[in-house]
Amino acid sequence: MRRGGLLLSALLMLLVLLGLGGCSDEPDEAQQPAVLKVADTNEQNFYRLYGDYISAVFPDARIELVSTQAASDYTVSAAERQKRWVELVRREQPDLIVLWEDEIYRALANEGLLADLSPYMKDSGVTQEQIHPGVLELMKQNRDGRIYGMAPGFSASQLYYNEDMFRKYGIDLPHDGMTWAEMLQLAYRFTAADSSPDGPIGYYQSFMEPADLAYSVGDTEGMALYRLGAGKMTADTPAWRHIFDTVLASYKNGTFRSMLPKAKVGEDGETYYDQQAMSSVDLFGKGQAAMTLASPGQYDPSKTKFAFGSVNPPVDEATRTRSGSFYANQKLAIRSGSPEAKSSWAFIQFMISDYVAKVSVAQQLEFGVPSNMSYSNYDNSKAALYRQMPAIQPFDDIVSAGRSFYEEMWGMLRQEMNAALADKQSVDEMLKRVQQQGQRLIDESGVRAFEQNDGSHAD
Amino acid sequence: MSGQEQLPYWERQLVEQPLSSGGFTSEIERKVRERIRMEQRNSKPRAWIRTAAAFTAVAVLLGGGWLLRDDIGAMLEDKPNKQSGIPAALQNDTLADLDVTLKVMETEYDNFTNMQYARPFLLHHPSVGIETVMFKQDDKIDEWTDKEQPDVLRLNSRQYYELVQKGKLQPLDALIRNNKVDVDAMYEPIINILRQYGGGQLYGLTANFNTNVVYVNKTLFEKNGIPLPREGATWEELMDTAARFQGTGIAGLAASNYNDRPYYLFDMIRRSVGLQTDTQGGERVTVDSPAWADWWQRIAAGYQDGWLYRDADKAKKKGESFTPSDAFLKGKAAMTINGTYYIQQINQVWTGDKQQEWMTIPVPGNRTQDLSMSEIYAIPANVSSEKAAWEFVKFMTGKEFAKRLIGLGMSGGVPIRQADLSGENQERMAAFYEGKLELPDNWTQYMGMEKQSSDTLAGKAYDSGGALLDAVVEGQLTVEKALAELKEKLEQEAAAAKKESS
Repeated sequence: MRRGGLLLSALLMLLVLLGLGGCSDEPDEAQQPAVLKVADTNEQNFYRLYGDYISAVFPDARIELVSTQAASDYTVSAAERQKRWVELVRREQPDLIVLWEDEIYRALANEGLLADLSPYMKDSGVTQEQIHPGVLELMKQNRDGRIYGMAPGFSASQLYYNEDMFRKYGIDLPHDGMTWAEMLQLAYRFTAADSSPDGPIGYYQSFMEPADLAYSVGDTEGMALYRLGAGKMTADTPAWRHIFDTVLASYKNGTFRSMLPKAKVGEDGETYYDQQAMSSVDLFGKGQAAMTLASPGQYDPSKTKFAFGSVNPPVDEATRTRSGSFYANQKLAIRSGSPEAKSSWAFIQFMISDYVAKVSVAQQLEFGVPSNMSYSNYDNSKAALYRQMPAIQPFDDIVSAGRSFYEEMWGMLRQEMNAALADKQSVDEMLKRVQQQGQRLIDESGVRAFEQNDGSHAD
Repeated sequence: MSGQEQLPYWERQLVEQPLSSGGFTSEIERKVRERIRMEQRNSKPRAWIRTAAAFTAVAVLLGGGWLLRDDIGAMLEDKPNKQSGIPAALQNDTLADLDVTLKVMETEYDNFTNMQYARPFLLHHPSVGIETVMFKQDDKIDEWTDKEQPDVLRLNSRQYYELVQKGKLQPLDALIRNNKVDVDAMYEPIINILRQYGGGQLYGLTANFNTNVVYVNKTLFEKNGIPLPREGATWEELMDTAARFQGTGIAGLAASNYNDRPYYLFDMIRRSVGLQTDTQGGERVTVDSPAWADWWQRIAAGYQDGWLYRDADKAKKKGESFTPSDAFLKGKAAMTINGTYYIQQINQVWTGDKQQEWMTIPVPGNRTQDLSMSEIYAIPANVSSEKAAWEFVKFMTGKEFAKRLIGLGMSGGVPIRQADLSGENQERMAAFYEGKLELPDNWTQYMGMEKQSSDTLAGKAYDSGGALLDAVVEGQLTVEKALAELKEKLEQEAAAAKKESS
């Protein structure tokens, strides 16, 4: 039987080799769906973001679009929006779901409507290490802490610095891992070097006011001024006191100034800032401010008159790894129980593949940089983004209030901060007043505890 | 599995290695089991066959092993197979071995860059680079092409014609035939027109084309008990239909959504039925013909009686009004004439409780008057990377890219393959593919390369005639008098022009 055994094993090897030659990973012909039901805002949005990719991968599939536009209506409450989405998914039974909002993602995940992607990842050999850890962390922000969706791309910001200005004043360049306090101190050194009216501004952000800066710092530190779901104002804490101290001190010592461009009132009564006015406040772009936060690629070396660089934005004091403005809200998900789960996964896998990452260098994703870690190898200029982690925000606080509430709250905050800036009150007094008035606003606004979508009541 | 212990080390590795998930191993198992079953069926194969088979198998193995050495090598190095992670549809990239960058023509109001037109192509051919070269409004296409040396051009009709005439483009019929491009699935009149421009040969392909249709608000027709116009309606029939709305408070027809001047409608009609302002290069002015008079009469009556839409506030003003509110979308006119992009506007405005039933019928007469093509893909004659350039042209005018054009709202024109439309679009847009679309006999004179011999005073007629027709509508002039004045004016213009050129 030796010869027969040799023949058999030879044939086996032959088949192995033949198989190797035709080896292809998912998706292969067997997994091309005839029809794929996709839920997205509308057809145009889908074709702008994902259409090219899906047509490339499933050339013969017919895409049936279920519009989520009505469900995403921003004039209704968050609770109503989530309700509509849940109903829509249950009624229309899409296979692939395109998600834009974290709150909807969580609502669907917590309702058990989305498939856990981990087994699919495992089967396909996609390891968690291949995906940006910050993105994965955001995907797991749901009640079960599982990956119920995948963001093919994420957006994050960079701290840009004017290299010429730093050299001129002999100030150390910024680096990754600076806290807000450290960055503001660095910015102050420009004021210390030259405090004349036309002097350099160390750090500048268009449209920003003291309250906005305080918010940004708090955001990075994972702190919120109010928890609407609990119906509580949370301003009067030592941590917030520390932040307000820092921010107010920076304003008082002239670290930077805020400025609002001339606003116009349009025919519909809406206030808007025209293009000219807006570009007039881009002091960094004009070479008058030493640092600013912006999206990667926002400044073009061929269009600026100064040398510049960028580092990762300010980080939290506790771990020095987390930054604000890190978003992965464009997600793809598979409806739990979909008969086309496999092909839907094949598409998601393609979106996070090395292949797409490589093509994305020349032709960007519409929504940031690829979540696939390998992208930083193909495009070194974005490598820093892969060393950022998102700031932790309490994600179970999913209540959102109406516009007038926010206008009142922030108007109050602005007023109190301006009073503190003008030395009309101490920071302690300011905090007490903010706490008091904020709590009253929350109580009066009708933004009450509501039934969270896991059935529990917030109180 | 028996015999496995006899395999050399590297073969054992291969067998044991999970090559991919999703059933590959089980596929082997199935095939092997099949082989075993077959062997058993053939019960006693002759010894020499077995030996021969064994040798063949070994030979194939060695050969195959050599051929697949890269894959095997990669496997042994524990790196992923270079084909892994690539969907089946994207494998076998015909341009994979080329290291080429294509220079593609772009214009100032183009969406090529900001809408990332090149992305789908690059998904299929990631090793090809795409660069754009800007053609500015004032550039001359012939000189520009010589200077910039693009690999792919995206032309309008006039530029296409000029470059064909000058022998600057590659003929594509052979490529189309050899690559089995489905030209037959493309809208025939457009292909015919491209051939005519090319003296019988195709030198370019287009993914879409632009022409007007008559948009009809069925709901308004139904409400007022008026029968819908038929698909092949003539201008006379269309005007008769519009006239039926007199007294309903709604206009039957709004000639356009941005221009409600009477002469605009007249100009549209006269060009599509072939009425000229003059012949023999302006020697004979023909604006006082009975046909001109009839149309002026009818149109004036329409605006006077209100079944042709005119913005009430601006009716008193002279001159063009470029900002009338959209009468059709607001339900103030039952029909309007517009291009492809208008569908998007309808879909944006007519939603929810504003929804109206609507349909389209072809514009009467010869539709070439409103035909425009702005993205005719062509390849310059002396291009070096012809293979990649042709693949690009084929792709951009192919079915896959059409999906994106359709999905994004077709504002650039209707797809060249009517069959690519589906669902609601199919029925609603049928009119774009109906009606007469043929180049008129004297078409060459409109291509900018020879001296025009007829209709040379059209521009002057638009200016002067516009004011005169307004006056007729206002009741200040009779049609007869107005046209007599117009004739005189144009004759003066023609004489002045002749003097200048002599």
